[in-house]
This record gives sequence, C-alpha cells and structure tokens, in this order.
Amino acid sequence: MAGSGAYKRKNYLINKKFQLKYTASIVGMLLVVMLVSGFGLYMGMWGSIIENFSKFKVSQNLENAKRITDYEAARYQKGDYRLEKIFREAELLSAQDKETLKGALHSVNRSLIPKVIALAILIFLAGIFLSHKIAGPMYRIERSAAAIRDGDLRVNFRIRKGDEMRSAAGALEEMIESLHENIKRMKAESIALEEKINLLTERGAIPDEDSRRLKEMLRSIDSVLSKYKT
Amino acid sequence: MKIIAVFLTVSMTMMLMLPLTANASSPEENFLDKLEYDSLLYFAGEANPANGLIKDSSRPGAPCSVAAVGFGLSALCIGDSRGWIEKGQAYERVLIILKTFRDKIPAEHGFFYHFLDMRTGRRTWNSELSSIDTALFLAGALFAGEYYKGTEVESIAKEIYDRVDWPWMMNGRKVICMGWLPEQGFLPYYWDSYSEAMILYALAIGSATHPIPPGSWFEWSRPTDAYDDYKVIYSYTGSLFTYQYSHAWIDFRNLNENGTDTNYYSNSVNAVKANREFCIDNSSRCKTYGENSWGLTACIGPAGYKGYGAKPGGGLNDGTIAPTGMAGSIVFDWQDALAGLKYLYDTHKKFLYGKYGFKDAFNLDKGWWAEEYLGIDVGITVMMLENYKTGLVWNKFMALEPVKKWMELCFW
Repeated sequence: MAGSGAYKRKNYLINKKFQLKYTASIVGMLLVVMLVSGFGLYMGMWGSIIENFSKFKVSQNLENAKRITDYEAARYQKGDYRLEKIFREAELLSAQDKETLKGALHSVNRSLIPKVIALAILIFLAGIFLSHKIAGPMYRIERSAAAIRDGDLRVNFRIRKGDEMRSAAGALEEMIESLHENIKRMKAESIALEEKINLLTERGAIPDEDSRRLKEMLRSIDSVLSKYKT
Repeated sequence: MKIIAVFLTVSMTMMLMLPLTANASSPEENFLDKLEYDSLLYFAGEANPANGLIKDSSRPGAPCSVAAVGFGLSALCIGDSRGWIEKGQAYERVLIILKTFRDKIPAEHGFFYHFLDMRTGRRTWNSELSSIDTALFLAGALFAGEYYKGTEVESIAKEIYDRVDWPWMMNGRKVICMGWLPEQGFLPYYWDSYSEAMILYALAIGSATHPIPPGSWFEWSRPTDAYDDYKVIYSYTGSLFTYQYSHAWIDFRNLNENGTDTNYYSNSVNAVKANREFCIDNSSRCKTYGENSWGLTACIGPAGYKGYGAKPGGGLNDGTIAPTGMAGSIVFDWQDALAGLKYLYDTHKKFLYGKYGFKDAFNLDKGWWAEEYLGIDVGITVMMLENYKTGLVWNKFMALEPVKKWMELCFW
C-alpha cells in the first residue's frame, strides 16, 4: 500500500497572498470584538467600583450598616453587645459589597450584550461580503466546467474585478481557448482526411474494404468531435 | 415616563411649599396644621418619583423602608384631602407606588423585604422579609384604596393585600413570626406579646384569601403592670410607638376585646400618661425631661437608634426625647401633647425644627440634636395629627371589609 503520508500536505501556504489576506481580515475582526468587549467591561466595572466605593459611599454604607444593626437590636431585643454588633455590621457590609459588585457586573453585562450582538451581526455581514468574493468565482468556475463537460467550448472564465481566484480563472480561460483551437483543427483535419481517403479509393490505391473501415473510424472520430460546440 | 414622574414631583413639592392658608381658627390649630404640613413634606422630598419609594431616613444613602412607604401612602391621601396636594397629583403618586409594589418589588408569599434599594426596588442590606413592615405598608395601601374608592388604586391595593399568605408567616405556630430570610429561613422571633403588631394581626385575620385563625388574636401575651396608678398592658420596651402605630389606622375607641373587655385605646391613654409621669419623675436626673418634654419612644439617639421607653416596660432611657412621642400621642392625651409640642417648638425651634417639622430627637444632657428625620416617626406624626383633627384615617380604614371581619371576630 502506498505510504499513508503520500498525499499529506506539507506546505499550508499554498496561495500565500490570498491566505494571508483573509487570515488578517478574520484576526482583525476578532481583535475589534475583543477590544470593544474588554474596554466596555473594564470601564463599566471600574467606573462602578469607583462610584460605589468612594469615600462618601463607604461612609454612607457604614452609617447604614450601623443603623440597621441598631434597628435589629431594638426590634429583636438583643443586648447592646458591642462585639456582636461589630460582627453584624461587618456581615451586613460584606453582603452589601457583594450586592454592589453583583449589580455592577449585571449592569455592565446589560450594556455589553447589545454591543456584542451588534458586533456579531457586523462580523456576519462582513463574512458574507468577503466570502462572496470567493464563492462568486467558484460558482462561475463550476458552471463553466459543467458546460465544458457537456461539450460546450463557447463558455468563458471571466470574473469580476475585485473577485478572488483571478489567476485560476485566467489559466482556465487559456485552457479553454487552447482546447477550442485544437478541436477546430481536428475537425478540419478530419475533413481533409476523408477527402484524401476518397481520392486514394478512386485511384485504387486503397482496397474498398480498407477504405470502408478507414471511413468508419473517421465517422467515429467525427461523432466525438461533434459533441464539442465551437 | 421619567419626565412625567419628575414633573409630578417638582409640581407636588412646589404645591406643598406654598404657605398654608389660615383656615384654622386658633393659634394651636394653626401650629398643628403647620407641623402636620411640614411633616408631610418628607414624603414628597424623600421619595424617588420614578417608582414612589420612600426613604427610611432623610440621611443621604438611606434605603427605602417599606413601613415608611405605608405611612407615606396615608400621608399623600391626607395631603390630598386637605388640599395641600393637588388631587390628581396625589392620586398619580399613590398609583405609581402601588404599581411598583405590585409589579416590581420582590416578594415571598406576598410579604416584602424590610429595606429596598431606592432606585431598583431590590432587597438591600440583607434585610429580612418583615411581617410588621409589610402590614404597615398594607395598612397604608388599603387606606389609600378606600380613600380613592372605585379607582385603580383600590383594586391594586386589594390585589397586593389578597396575595399575602399570612398563615405561612406563622411557621406552624400560633403567633406570627417577625420575619424570614432566604439564607436561613424564619427568624427565631415572634409577635407573641403586646406590641405594635395589633395592626398585623388585624390584617391577617381579616384577609379574605389567606386568613389566619381568629384565635391567634388571643395567643399573644398581655403582660400587665402599673406605673403611678396607670395600669397598662405594656410592651416589652415600653416605647410609645408600640401604643401608637396600630392606632394610626384602627380606631380602638369603641372596641372592647372579646373575653377580656380590654379597650386598647384606653390602654394607650394610660401608657401615654405613664410615660409622661415617668419623664416628670426623672426630670431631676435628665434635663431634657419635663411636664412639657416627654415621650420616650424608639428613635435616634446620641449612640444610635434605640428602643427608648418608659415604665411599665423596659424603660431604656438616657435623656433622649423624640417629639414624635408626643405628636403620636395627641389622640390619647391632646392637652399634654399639644402643650409639649408647643413648648418644644417655642423653646428649641432653632435646633429641633426644620424643613420636615421636628427632627427626630434631642438630648439636652449630652448637647445632642438629631440632624435627620425618620420616615416612620414623621409618618405617625402626620397620621395622628390628622386623626385628632378630622378622624379621616380612622373613618376610612374602619369601613374596610377585612377590618370589619376582624372586629366581628375579636371585639364586641
């Protein structure tokens, strides 16, 4: 059995310019998404932290924690045990800080999610736009190849300015022209050959039986050549 | 929507800041009207116009207190009835509050958390689901519903009230629990003795959808003691607010308890008089106390919020007096309350009276004057002054079906 690595591609940059161009587009779009999300997250969180943990807010929170422990002591008839109250105040502050951070994350997420969705839509549209420059020519090449397979040599591989695969299309166009010329020449040669066979048969240079066989072979060649529209 | 809310607040505040017209005839009436009006301003100035939430205290950064909202709902209707707030504006504000509580405020089994974030309405400060604060809110909501009878306010108030699962808050016991925490379940404290929770039991028993057994009314204890010949069913702290809050909405004057014949209005009268006598008896020890400066009740003090009270009861005191103690007692002892309030105003106006009426408390021995106002203290002031003058809150509240149901089951 042929070595399993016989058909393994070793060189991944087959069309360096084309591949690097599209890789750069994808990487560029991802970088934009990351930058916007990261910036939004950072500024949102940091802005909220600065606002909620400013000296004024911290002082307000301390007052609130103390007031609430006082309310609890008055309502539940707890003794005025200072240590217990300090622990309770610390517990309230810790819970409140967690709520504050949770709230900050929540509001950052709420502002980020629409932006990320919008970016995703833009990337999707950019992807459609970029890929159609490849898909268009590929579709055209497929259609033209099918026509050639069916014998129509009148097709062309011309693609639009700005589309990709121009060099491949160019090579295919040259191939068609060459094929076109060769088929035309073969058709002409076939006609000339038949005339020659007729002349030689009239002169008796070729036996009738051989002449008949040669003409059958020519007709067989003609039937193949006639499938190609030129 | 936000623009409308801001507009309502600005125009409501401006309306409230216009000078009172002097329809009242005597200087005393004028003074009480001024005090009631100024106190009412709190519920316009310390509220979030977008959602109607009202701050626990005038201190910056204070959270919303659900109980303060209940007092606020009542105060807004009072302001409407007096012509201090334009009818449409008061109604719109009440509607905003009720819609917020129906649609946005988190609740468990219909109960609300004690403290809420003023902006978002979310539970804040790890606060407990509170039965008494929910009841105070609902009392305000139901009163507003009755005041605006036949409107969307009435139907929303009823909707919020009907969804409360009162039996759940009993946690399988015969009395109502004080609260519940999502992190640890029911609190280990119950409303099992005389207190401000009579309004809570009234609403729970009167519920058409989730009532508690009427027998629960008789399950909380009624400890009795006397001070200076004033016999009182007393609260643990002896704080005046425990004898006032339920009476802000319920008119107990003609209600005699089944089986005991207790009249809780008379009980509060005795408690107020005992409180005053206690202050007079201790006036040599504390400069703040006197025959015109009394009223030991829970309030802010030099060392923070305390459950101050007189005997009979805990009797915690350090010379701090809250004017709301007297203001909230005006329906029980109008002469002494009025004299005391006038005295405080005339003598200590400079440090003790501000944009929302009397500041929360003061202590002459320590040279301390509160800088802030508490929503519930300002609220009881507004409501009791109004009940004293017109009986508006009592008249409306006692006409409610749940209240009638409770009365029939527990009183004669």
